Amino acid sequence: MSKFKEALAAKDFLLTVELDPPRGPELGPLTELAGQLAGRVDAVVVSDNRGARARLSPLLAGQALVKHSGAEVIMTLTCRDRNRLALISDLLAAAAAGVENLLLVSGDFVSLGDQPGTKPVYDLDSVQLLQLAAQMAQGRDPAGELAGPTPFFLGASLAPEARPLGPQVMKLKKKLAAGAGFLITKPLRGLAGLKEFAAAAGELPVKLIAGVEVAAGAEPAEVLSLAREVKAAGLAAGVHLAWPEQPQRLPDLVGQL
Amino acid sequence: MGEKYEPKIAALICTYCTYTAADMAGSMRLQYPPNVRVVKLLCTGKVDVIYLLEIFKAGADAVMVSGCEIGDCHFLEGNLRAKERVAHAKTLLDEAGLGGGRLEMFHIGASDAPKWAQAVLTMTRRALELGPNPLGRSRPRPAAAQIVEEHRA
Amino acid sequence: MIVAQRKPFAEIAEAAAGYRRVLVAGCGTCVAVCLTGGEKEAGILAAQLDIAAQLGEREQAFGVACVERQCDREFLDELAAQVAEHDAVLSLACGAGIQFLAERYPDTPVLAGVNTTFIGINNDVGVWGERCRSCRDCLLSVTGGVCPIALCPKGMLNGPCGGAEDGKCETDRERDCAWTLIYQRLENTGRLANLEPIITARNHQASLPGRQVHPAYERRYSAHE
Repeated sequence: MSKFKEALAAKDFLLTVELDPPRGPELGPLTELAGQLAGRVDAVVVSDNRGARARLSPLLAGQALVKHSGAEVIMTLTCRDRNRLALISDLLAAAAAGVENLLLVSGDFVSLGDQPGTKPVYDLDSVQLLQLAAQMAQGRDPAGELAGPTPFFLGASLAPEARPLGPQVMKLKKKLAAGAGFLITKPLRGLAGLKEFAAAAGELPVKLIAGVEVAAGAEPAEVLSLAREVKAAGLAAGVHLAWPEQPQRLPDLVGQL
Repeated sequence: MGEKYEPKIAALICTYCTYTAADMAGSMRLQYPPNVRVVKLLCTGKVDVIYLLEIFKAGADAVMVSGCEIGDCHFLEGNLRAKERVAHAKTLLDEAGLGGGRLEMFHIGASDAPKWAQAVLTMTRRALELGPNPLGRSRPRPAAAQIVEEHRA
Repeated sequence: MIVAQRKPFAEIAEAAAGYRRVLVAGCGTCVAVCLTGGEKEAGILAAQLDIAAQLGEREQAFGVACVERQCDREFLDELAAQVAEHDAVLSLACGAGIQFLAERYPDTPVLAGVNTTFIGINNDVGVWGERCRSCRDCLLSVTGGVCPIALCPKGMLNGPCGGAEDGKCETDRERDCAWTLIYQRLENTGRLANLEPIITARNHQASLPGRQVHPAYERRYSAHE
């Protein structure tokens, strides 16, 4: 069983961090960084072409971290870059690679990335991808029986600061119905939006981890204080830290929380 | 050619305003270049892009369209439409390589004879600067119909 | 209607440059209504091409024609005499019309003068908006008359993505989020329950070339299959 799932059930407050695979073929630095974080965070989220910018596959990065870093891995998989054949194929590969946790998202649109003219796929949306992964956890795909189940712990993303709230709450309910076992929010700007969202959504059957990000050029102090506020307010079961520009400083940041 | 270049300018003007101003310019004995050929319209809203292109194809060195002052159109917005079409035709002329500078829109009220004289002067100067329109005068060129005839023969 | 946009002039002129007599063929239906490829636009383009050819000292002539619809064989037949008198036809119809023209006159090079953009509506004078992707499995009864496939860049079927903000899309903060529109429309008409079931994955067999036969003609065409 996934260590992350156990931690989520057992601990009061969790800490996860986000790491991008390299824009090159060398996995050593990523594995080393994840190794430094391994005992200090509950999971490392490996991103999937974050911001629609191409990087090394999260499957291979996920596998390397599972095997060599000692960190618990949550692998992101987007609907943007794969049709359902590729999604099934990659979900099977993730299971074979020893990845036990997935964050299933629709993915930033291609026009925001570095290949704006590429074909956006979105054969499934994030709700349908959760359904597919949940079905595969039962040992089946839409075409029939698989040779074995892929027992993933499934997560979904959430945009609590997006307005109007109604459509976001509706979408969350569908994600939960489709099999989401945990939630990670998009990077928050403050607490107010999350509070409003929590009030509108009511009590959630699964735990929610609040995303915070040190944006480009920003100093980490504000992010640390927001993370502490989230913890103090009891609005989330944990914090998910990202520092896309300077991931090598994440271990230091984690130490200050 | 060796001939002196005398620009030919076509003016598509509105009967309610610019035409009256041009008429008054005559009564007032205002002096302005004689290069302009006037085509009187009931409204510049009648001007279509295709007319403008065809006039250039026929060899005009410059074309001016002149309607009422903004807000004074006898038909409320004919001059505004003409303004948009002239702007569009200028882009089409740029694309085709002749250049949109040979075409201009003016707004001249019925009592504004000096403005008409000034506008003609402006366009004559511009036509002189830009030189002769190479279309329709460099060499006799078979029209589409003629080429089609050749083909039949 | 089908909306199209005239191709850049330089591209058209280059495509036509190798032909002495070019027939600019407009289409009197959709592309005429969107002011791109009707009789008037065919005349304007022919005049423009003629000016450019004269300036470039190319011996070319441009004829003009327009038929009611280039997507109907009967109307295309009317062009036979003119097509025979030209070396190429530059069609201003949508992609369907251009192809049918080329199919009807297989010995004449047919060139495209427009880029077909979308199936859309007329928002205001000179402004059109996309509304339909012809996906062959219409969801509009469920989604409050707002199409998530045509209006959401990701084609999300079960609600907005996380990029929506203040009812606008992550791809452009001026663009309305389709799912916000859907939600509001259904809320206003008391149909939010429409959104409770998860909409399952789409059937993308629509990527196969389409063909349809009216039920009344099934017997006639089944014989030829």
